Amino acid sequence: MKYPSPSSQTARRRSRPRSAAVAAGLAVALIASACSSDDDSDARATVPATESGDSVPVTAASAETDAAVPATTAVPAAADTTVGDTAAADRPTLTIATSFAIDDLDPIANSFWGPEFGYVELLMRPERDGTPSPWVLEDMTATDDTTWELTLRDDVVFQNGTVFDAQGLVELIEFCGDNNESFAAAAQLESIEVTGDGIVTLTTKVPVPSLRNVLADESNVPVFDVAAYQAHLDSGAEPAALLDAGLYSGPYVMTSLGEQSAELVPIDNYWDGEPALSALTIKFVPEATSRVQAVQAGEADIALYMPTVVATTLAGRDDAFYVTGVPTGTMFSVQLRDAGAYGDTDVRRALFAAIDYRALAEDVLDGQAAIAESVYGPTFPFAINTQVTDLDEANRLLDGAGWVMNGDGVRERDGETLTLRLLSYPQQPDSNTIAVAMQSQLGEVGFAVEVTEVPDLTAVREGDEWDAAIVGDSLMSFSLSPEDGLRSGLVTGGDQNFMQVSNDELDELVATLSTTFDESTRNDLLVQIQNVIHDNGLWAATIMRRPSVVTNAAWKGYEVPLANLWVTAKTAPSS
Amino acid sequence: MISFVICRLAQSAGTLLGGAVITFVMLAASPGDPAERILAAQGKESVTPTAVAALRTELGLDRPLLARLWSYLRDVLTGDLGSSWSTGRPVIDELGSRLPATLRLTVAALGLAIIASLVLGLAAAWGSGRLLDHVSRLLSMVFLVVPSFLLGVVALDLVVVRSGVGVVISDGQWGTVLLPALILAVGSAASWSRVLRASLLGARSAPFLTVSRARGTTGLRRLLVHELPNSLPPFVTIIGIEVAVLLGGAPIVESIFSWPGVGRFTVQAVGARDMPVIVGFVMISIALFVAASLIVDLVNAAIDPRLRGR
Repeated sequence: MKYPSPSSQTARRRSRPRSAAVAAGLAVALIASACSSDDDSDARATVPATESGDSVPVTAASAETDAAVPATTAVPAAADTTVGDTAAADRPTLTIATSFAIDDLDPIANSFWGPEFGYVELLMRPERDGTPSPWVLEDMTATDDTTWELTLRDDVVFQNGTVFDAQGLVELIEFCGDNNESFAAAAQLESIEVTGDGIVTLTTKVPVPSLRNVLADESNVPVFDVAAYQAHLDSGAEPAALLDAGLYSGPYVMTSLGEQSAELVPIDNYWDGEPALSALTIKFVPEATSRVQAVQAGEADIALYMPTVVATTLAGRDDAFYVTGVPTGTMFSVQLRDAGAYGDTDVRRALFAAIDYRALAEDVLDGQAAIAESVYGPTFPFAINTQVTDLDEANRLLDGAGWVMNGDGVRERDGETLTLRLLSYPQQPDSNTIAVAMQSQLGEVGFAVEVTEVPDLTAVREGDEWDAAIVGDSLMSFSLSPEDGLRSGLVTGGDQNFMQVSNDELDELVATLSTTFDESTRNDLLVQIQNVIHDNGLWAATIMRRPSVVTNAAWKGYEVPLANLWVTAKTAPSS
Repeated sequence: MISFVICRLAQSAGTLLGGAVITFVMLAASPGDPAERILAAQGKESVTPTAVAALRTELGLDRPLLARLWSYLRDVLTGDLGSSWSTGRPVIDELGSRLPATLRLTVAALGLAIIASLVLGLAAAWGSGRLLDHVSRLLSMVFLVVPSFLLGVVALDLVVVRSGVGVVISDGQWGTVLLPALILAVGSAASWSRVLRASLLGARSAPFLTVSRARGTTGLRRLLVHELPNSLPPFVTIIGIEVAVLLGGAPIVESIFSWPGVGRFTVQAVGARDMPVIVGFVMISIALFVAASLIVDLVNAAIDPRLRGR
């Protein structure tokens, strides 16, 4: 279908001088207006925010944002003495389009965005093997089951110029323990004190082997200047005032934050070398299509949070690229209720054996997901391949359980049909795609699958009108601890154990894991746990999600990071 | 005239109240849990039942529907539309900060629609039965039947992405208003031009035009000086009515063009079941519609003195 453009309408009216004059005048004015706005946008995207050592270019960038977004709060850079450097003009810029807005810089409510965009740091950094490495800490060692020695780097400085020292670390952890319930529950803090030059000793009430992971989780302990934050709270100022408080220690400092975008510039003398970018812009665009089009139109370099369907729409195009990373354990699982026909272990195992894991990843999701051969991601040393498609085994188990195939290809027992009420939900569009595919796959061994798309997961959390659900989740925590998902989702009484599964052997293994420090022993326990999950048909992954972004040509080599750490000091375009 | 205005204002208050109650009840009856949606919309990586339960209590969602409705209406009467469940900020502030962008878009679309409908309508009436009329009517028909979301997506791809004119992520200012306003305007322009054409053709049979023709007035002068003023009341009336259509279409167009207005914010609020924001948007829409209707009545009365006494 072809739509007449304003200019073509103008052409059609050209035979009538007065009408043509009006239309042409209007068209010229409007096109000029559009072109000028386009120029503005280009300038904003390409002109480095810092061209010299002072704050003038920063102010210029902020002023432009002010003009564009009424609600923007723009301030001079947090500390002019620390912002920008003379070589900034030689460095690239980066504009990211993301779906979630950053409300403010409050370290308790909203700082979890900070590590993702390079303005906040954490004490520990998540790693692909599940064992975090030091970030702002230089070292973290368990001296016994409940005592940890934290050694702080001696060159970390907040963006306001204050040095982050051992006493600051004690205050930080105490403050987070007092104000962050989930951190307090995970860390089980008993005491913390300075015990040496840059050394802090922390004790826990019970053994917490995963404490490194706790400190590598963006929701727990963001590194910030507690004294400066306390002064802000005492002043009664609005959260917007935090913009010039220089609370954090990341390589980039935010200079403006509005409803539409945020602007960041690098700081001088960052402890881990010169930040690679001269300016970073984060645009908040909830609509996925608009984020992709922003990359295509040159208004953004990278678009985050991409549905897999985007990969298909971008195939063959040279203005935007669907870039995927290594699966880290985020997946779509089958939550299978331990009730009715599915209270029988053989039926549960048969169901999982009848799933064609390869087809789901490679055919149904067009290769945009990895095959779920394990319930953990492939990069973890303890992951074992327990998920195998075996239709003969599925048929054998169902036959043995007394479910007999009728003439319609559906199994029955004592007049009851083997029905599976399978739920999907629209917040994760792929969940319905997978559910529909599984309907076909499970039908081959005689399950009568009824797929229902529910508005959200309330039906799973609170209802009992379901047998299974395709849920986007993971057994790994955000900082890649393998325990959290087990404790909450599979252990008896876990707060997200909506399947109501209860297995004494699993409970005992997870309890042992929760107090075991030795890496080798932990890996052995995790292998045993995976076998118990498989042997009892407790839980299965359908596909492993590949983290993905859309980039322009310059950023095509962008390595999709772990734990959403999109921007670090080293982030730069690469071939 | 004063009693007329007072009567209309009273009707407006009743309409506002009814709109608020209906919207509130419909949203409360729809499936899904607002607390869960809100936590998900805030980008929280894990939504625990404890967090959902705590948020429900905080928002008062565990109270009976009637109690919640009564509290809400009582607050509204005191000028308090409540706070957004998603952002925690007052709804008045959230909508107020975005309203200028929506008004910019709507005003631009209104202007474009009026100009385009005048051009198309006058052209069709002037060349009635000839090629110009057919082309004008064809354009009107096309723009009437093609939905704005489709037109918007296609225009964004062809004009911005492929041709590099304009922007995908609009900033809500006048500089980027052209394309979204055009998309918002085309449907209304098509509809209004048809009304204007019919009205102009109807006015041609008036006796005074026979006199005008007998005096040798040219066709164009007759059209602009005699026929057009006498055809304006129905044209102005439908513009007033369709201001609501423009506002109703704003959420779709704002979402397509990432226009930071009230409509786009409301679409996000619908996704998160942010009831105070949705009801607030409905009330603002009703208020603007009622105000537009009132203005239209007054303008019509000014244009046509015969209407002043009615």
